[in-house]
Amino acid sequence: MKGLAFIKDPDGYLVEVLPQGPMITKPVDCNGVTVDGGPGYKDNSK
Amino acid sequence: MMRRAVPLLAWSAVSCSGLHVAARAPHVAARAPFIRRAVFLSTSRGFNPDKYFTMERPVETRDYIMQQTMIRVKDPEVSLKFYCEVLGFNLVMYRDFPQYEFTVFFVAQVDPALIPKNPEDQWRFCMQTPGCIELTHNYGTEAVPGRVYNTGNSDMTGSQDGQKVKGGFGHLGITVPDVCKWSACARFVWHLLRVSKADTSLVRLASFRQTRRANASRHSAASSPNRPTLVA
Repeated sequence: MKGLAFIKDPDGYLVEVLPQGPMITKPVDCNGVTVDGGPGYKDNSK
Repeated sequence: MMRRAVPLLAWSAVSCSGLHVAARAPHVAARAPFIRRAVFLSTSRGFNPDKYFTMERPVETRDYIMQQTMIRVKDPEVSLKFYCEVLGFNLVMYRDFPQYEFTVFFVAQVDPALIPKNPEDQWRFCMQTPGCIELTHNYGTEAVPGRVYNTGNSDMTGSQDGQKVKGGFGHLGITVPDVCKWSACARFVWHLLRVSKADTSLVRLASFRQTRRANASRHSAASSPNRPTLVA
């Protein structure tokens, strides 16, 4: 977890999701995805 | 001391302070985004933007409002469902321009009880509400197969030469209390929206929301830290 996230709207526009407090980076996020060394998040939109 | 150049997206955690309160729109002030301050970049030009932190706002601009960003959308029905049901916006005003064959829909994150009932008051309310998104629908695009508009992020939609277009538009942005909790839900919603055809996905999304509400009524907020928290 790099402290932020993105979502795509129906047209593919990116919507950035940021914290209202400090931006906290976690080596492994709450979904089990690692920041480094793993596949990361996959863009399933194409 | 020379500062190390860092990527533009490396926002400073300690600088995420300074809540921007829209004095002229108290109904949205509580949800207004934080001002993000980029880590100062040492550039080859030696550009230092710090003076703009303290610069007096030109008097003639004191009543200006950063009111809207416009994006063109293929199908407003689908987009309104996304922005209202997934991101918690409300429709605050819409106008049809048949002579130009387009319709505009303004959405914002406001208390729906404050949205006026008649079109003239809705227009006035909308124009005084910061942070609206204007969803513009050009007639007929919903029937066009595939993507219609280039997102600005290196895609080939609309490209004349088959090359990816790196446009000026980047993204919209929202802030949430807890990105980690949000992402646990958002990934699921996003998946539904992307892998399914629009109508099917929205039915499934509605079903998901009903399930989430049912689960929420059965569990306390602390029982599952990853319980989806998205959608107002």
